[in-house]
Amino acid sequence: MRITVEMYGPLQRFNQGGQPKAELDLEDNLTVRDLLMSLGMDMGEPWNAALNGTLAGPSDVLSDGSLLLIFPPIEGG
Amino acid sequence: MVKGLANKILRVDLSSGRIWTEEQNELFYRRYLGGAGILSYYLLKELKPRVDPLSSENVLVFAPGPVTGTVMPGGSRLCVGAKSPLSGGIAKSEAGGFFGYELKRAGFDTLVVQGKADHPVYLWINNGEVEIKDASHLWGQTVLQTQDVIEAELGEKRVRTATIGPAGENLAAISCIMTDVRNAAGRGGLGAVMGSKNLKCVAVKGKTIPQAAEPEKMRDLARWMNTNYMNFSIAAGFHELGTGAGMVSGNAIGNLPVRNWSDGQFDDAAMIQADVLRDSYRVAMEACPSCQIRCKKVVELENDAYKVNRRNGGPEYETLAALGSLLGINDLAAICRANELCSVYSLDTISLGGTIAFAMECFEKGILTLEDTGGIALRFGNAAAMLKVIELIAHRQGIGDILADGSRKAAERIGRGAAEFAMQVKGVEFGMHEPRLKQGLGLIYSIAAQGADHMAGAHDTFFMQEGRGMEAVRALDSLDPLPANDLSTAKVDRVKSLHLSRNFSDSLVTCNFVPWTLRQQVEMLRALTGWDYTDFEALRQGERVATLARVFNLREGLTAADDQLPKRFFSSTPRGALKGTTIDPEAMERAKRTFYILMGWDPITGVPTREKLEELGIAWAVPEAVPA
Repeated sequence: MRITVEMYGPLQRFNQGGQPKAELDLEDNLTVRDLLMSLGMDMGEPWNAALNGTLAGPSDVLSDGSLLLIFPPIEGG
Repeated sequence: MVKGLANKILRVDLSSGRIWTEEQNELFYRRYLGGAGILSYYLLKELKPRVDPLSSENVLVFAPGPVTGTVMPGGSRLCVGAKSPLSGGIAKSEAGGFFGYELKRAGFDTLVVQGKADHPVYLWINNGEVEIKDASHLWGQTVLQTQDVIEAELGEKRVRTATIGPAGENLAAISCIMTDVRNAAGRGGLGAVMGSKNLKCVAVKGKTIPQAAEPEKMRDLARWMNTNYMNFSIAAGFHELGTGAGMVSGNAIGNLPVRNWSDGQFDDAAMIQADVLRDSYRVAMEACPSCQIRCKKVVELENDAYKVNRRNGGPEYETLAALGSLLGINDLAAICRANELCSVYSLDTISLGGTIAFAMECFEKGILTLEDTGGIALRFGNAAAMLKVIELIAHRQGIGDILADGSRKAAERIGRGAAEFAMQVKGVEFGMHEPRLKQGLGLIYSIAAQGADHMAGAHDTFFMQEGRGMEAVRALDSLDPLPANDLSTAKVDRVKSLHLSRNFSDSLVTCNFVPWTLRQQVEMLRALTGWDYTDFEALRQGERVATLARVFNLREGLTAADDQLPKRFFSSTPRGALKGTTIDPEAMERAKRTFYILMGWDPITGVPTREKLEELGIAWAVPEAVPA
């Protein structure tokens, strides 16, 4: 499957060498957690995710054409 | 005498011109600490019940905390409070910059202002010497103009200030107090209280360094944070972009308020994001004393449609949302200019945005007409209209006179069903975080004594899944990740504990953007004072502040019925990430009762029990807690 990953703020450093946006070809049925671990993200970092326009969590399953946003939790400010 | 404190409280009576200092004993400071603790004490103790907040009988308290004025990163803030002209209950708001730091170093833990001067005045506090000086020539001046004139006439290059602009002078209930020109003690209408006392400015200079009991330990803690803050992605994010990085991501999960909370998707979020600001108008990032995070944006616009002076600061997240998505506005330059107007006129960007959003929805629904607005097409998305109406509000002209007192009072004056569109709790407009997403935040929005304050506690999205972020709540014995929309007893307990923890931070007064743990905050208080202070005491302090503030509100006539979210949040937004998501009103009502029970308050009335007050060492507040 092919998905698009956007990462924001200091978490961007985990996205394929620091890109804000990357297109990835992956095996099917990966979860958000699987993907982030494969990118080498420090899973201890506080993060939130939006998958296809809604709040998502580590166990949510990705599918072909998914848009995944990863960003620090927001408390402004 | 307590180590690390000034051990002096400055009292000023503007009616008589009397200036004196008060000394409190060590146990007083141990019980109330400073900041929100001391502020709550003075307001409940010294205000007579049911006074008009804009009368000479109100009391305005500027309260640094024990940590203020020390080497601690984030140790420069103060808490400001009074009886609120917006809510009729307590106003409590924190501000950064140098003012609090300097007030402590001028030799005072707290400044308590009572009475009313018979002409405009300002206070000059110079290394312990205090004068009341004429400010007739300053009345009508902007905050920035006032800063320059005062520095020139005092012959001082760098005077730290707390100032009001024309909005405060005109007693706008949504006006604020600006510290050092571009920081705000924003919420609750404190600018109007200051204006009602004919007090234009408090100017301060101080050089007495607080003497800690264990200065080496203080320096070790400060050094640790200044070395390690970048390891915390939240703090690292603030360092790079300030707040304001959450527009696109917030929109993606439904956190961003849109068009008076009536919509759940803002298609132009990317146009008002902090990195766009960085690349277009931002010229610098500035810091509060001793802080490496340096999160304060400075913007400058020249040769654009709008001009913005860099000295007036730049829009943070709350402002980008309140004067942006909340109004359907995507014009970043206009938002920068609106932010500048708020600084120079001393208007709270959050309550201002909430009030203009209310007016825009009323206009779109025909409740307000062009005749009411004096010909301004006050529609969502109309940036020019926003800027015009800010001028009218600051100067109480035309429709501005109605809107200057916030959305609740404006709705009362307008009638015609307008009240449905006033998005407020206790008269205080919401911080820019969606309670239908962060439902624990929704709970504290409804209950917090100061109204819908987004800094009063839990942001649920930090604690939904495993990670280092969970440590902050695990230290409060709230162990499990919980969904953002959960309102179980476990969530209520978390909301309560985080609220108490925030109240403790607001008593020290530390900055919430510096990632101190509770344990570190306790360590710094131990190192400062030499007390054997504990985590237990810290949370008790938080409970004491919440309870004193609750008792104050009850005495002033607020009840459990005021702990209520607007109906809109019990319906879904038509679009966006939260389409189909609502707050269940019964679940929220149960959560509210549970909060009361966990706090030791009556489960129906929310009145703290006598035993709870006695437990917290505030038995003197017992008679106050019985509603009239």
